[in-house]
Amino acid sequence: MSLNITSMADIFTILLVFLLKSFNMGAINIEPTPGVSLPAAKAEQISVDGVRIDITMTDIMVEGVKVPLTPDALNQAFREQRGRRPASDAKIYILSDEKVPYSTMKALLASAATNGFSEVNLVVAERE
Amino acid sequence: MSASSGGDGGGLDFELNLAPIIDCFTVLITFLLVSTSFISLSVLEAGVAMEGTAAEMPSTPPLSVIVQLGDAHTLNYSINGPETVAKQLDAKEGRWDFESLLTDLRQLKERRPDFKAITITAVNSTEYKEVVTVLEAVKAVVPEITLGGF
Repeated sequence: MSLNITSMADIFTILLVFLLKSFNMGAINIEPTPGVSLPAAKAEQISVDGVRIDITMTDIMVEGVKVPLTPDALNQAFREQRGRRPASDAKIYILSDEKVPYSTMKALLASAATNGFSEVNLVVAERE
Repeated sequence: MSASSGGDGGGLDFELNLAPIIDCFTVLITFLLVSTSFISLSVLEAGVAMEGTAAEMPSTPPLSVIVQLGDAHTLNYSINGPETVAKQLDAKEGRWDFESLLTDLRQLKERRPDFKAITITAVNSTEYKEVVTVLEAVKAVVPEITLGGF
């Protein structure tokens, strides 16, 4: 009994072509935090390098470490990051859920700016 | 396992072994399924303006333009400089009135070619996605944007 696998080869070829087409090798290789729904926007694809800030509806994380939303805690977190990076490195990139209120962003950005992080990159889901 | 194809009358028959091809395809497809991301990410750049004023960009603009996102999709913008203008744009069909805002900003840019930076603020309850939407729209006209209202 011989097995005809020509059909399977056809299907695999089509599947492979589709997956190769959608394979994304962009400069941004970030894994969004689970549960975060990024806002959609048309923006540039540029490389990201800097302090990563994740904002969910319940938590703020600076480089993966949860930080309470108080000025002291945020200042402390950014001070630590400042100590680890050269003075010329002023970038932060923010992955925030789209429903986060601006008051949270204000508190975060105020602490960031106070500690020398004034270049903000907002990571968004690319809208075609 | 093999497939065979015959040649045209009198040609040579050969058997094509598809097993190695299927092996390669299986591995490739598994790898691509695991590693493909169907969402591509990109970045909107902005600066930070402290104390609700326009940021001091390296090329400090002579005028300060602040756009505030208000409640119910209203846009309030103010131009402070040699001319002082304050205007409120009400919601258009329940959405931000970008058309009017961008028209006004373009007109300002024509009058003042040195107008390159703008500050965006919002009331505390404004959702982040609305800020991103306004930022994206304004960036088409004004390349340097700072977030303010602290």
